[in-house]
Amino acid sequence: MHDNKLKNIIEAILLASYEPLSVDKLFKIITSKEKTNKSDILSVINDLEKDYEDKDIEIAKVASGYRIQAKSEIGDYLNIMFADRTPRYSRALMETLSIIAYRQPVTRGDIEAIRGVSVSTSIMRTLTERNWIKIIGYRDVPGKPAMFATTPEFLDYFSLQRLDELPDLPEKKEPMDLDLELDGRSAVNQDLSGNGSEPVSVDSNQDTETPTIQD
Amino acid sequence: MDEPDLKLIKNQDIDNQINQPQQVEMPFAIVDGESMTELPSDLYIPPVALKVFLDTFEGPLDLLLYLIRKQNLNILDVPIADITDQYVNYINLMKELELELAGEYLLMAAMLAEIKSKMLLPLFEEVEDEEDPRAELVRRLLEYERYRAASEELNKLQRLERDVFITGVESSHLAQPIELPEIALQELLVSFQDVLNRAEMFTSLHMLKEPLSVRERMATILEKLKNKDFIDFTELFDFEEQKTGLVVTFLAILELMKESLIEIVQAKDFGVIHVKALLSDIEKSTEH
Repeated sequence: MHDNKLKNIIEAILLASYEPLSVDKLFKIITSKEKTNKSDILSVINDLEKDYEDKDIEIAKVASGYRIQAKSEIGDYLNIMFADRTPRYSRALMETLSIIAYRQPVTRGDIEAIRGVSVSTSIMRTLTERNWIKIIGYRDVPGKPAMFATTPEFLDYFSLQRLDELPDLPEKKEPMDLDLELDGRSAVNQDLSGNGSEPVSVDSNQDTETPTIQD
Repeated sequence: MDEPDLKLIKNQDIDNQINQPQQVEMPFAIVDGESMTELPSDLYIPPVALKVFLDTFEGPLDLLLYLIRKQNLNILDVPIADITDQYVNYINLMKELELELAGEYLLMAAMLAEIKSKMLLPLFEEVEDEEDPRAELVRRLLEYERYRAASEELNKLQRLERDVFITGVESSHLAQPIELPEIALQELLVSFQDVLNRAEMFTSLHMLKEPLSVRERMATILEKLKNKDFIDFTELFDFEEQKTGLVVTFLAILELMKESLIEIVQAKDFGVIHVKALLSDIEKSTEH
């Protein structure tokens, strides 16, 4: 097929689609009418990407494939247009979602252990209804709790292709200095407070803890 | 931090400032070069604002982290007594403002009290493995903080419906051929058989009176034929009946034929079909 024709077809298909389309899917759609191959489709997509460089739309590759989207630069305009339609998600929901995303598969119990509050049913329902999370099995412990994981739709929504593109989880810190106790603790405080000479005994130390100033 | 500092300054702390001048309260604000450790008594915080503020905490860990961070305290070395007092003050405040106080907050208060009491006990150096009573709490705080930070990062990602938007061209005006699912008839029958089999398992529990019995209809037909020589085939049907009734009648006729209880005769092609009872057998059949 002529390249320009293929380009126009793919552009129109991507524009009309409500969800991202993979090369395989595009191939299946087009090949039912016209002879084509996947590498042509791919190169056409690259061409389109270049075409859009000066425009406010772009081709984005996300987990489920390619989609044509409005660039974030004009998000501000669109936000005004869609003001009442922009969904807002609570901190609790985002925290729950990130625990599922980073620690999957997780049970409700795992989420509760980290957040220190019970998992809200409405949050889990919202996440499930948005198709961001799904149950992928049941842990083999008493009660057989459901294990949750994220879906490709979740990645699509956050403009990601793979889970490992998630921002890095802050490094795990261990409270290793804690059990030094006695000398350890007072030594730290001495350095910061300039109180080098005075030995601090444990029992009097409790209520008069020197605030340790962090940078 | 310009958030309302709700910490109550305790007498101990004040004593402390006299005895050990270097251990002072972290100032929460510096006004004209003077550090403020206490809220000005005339500073009015409207209760509604406070409520909104308190409402934003996502649980006890969140509140604790706030308290620790607010005072630039080292999370690895939390002054548990101070923090416990402040925490309990917040809890009381929440109670006063009639915020929904989840059980988790109270559980945390109990945990803090437990840690505090453990910390007050003298520590024996020979017990090597004894862990700082705060360790578990600190571990949880650190772990929660990681995911809280991660969720903030997640929130910053380019998000559909907020940062980027799916474009769409209208295509509904184009006639789209309706794609019918391809199902082999065989498969349909097999699955229907399945349904029937399953349904049978349930029906076997009930003794349902069959509303339209072929047997009963057979008797009725024979009754109609009893005193007549021949009867028009169509006369056997009651046209006011529903289709099922008609089908049952037809089945009854076929059944009667099979059992050789009636005879069906057609005099000529396309002519009227007549039904005749084989009289000798009538008595036998009605006994069934």
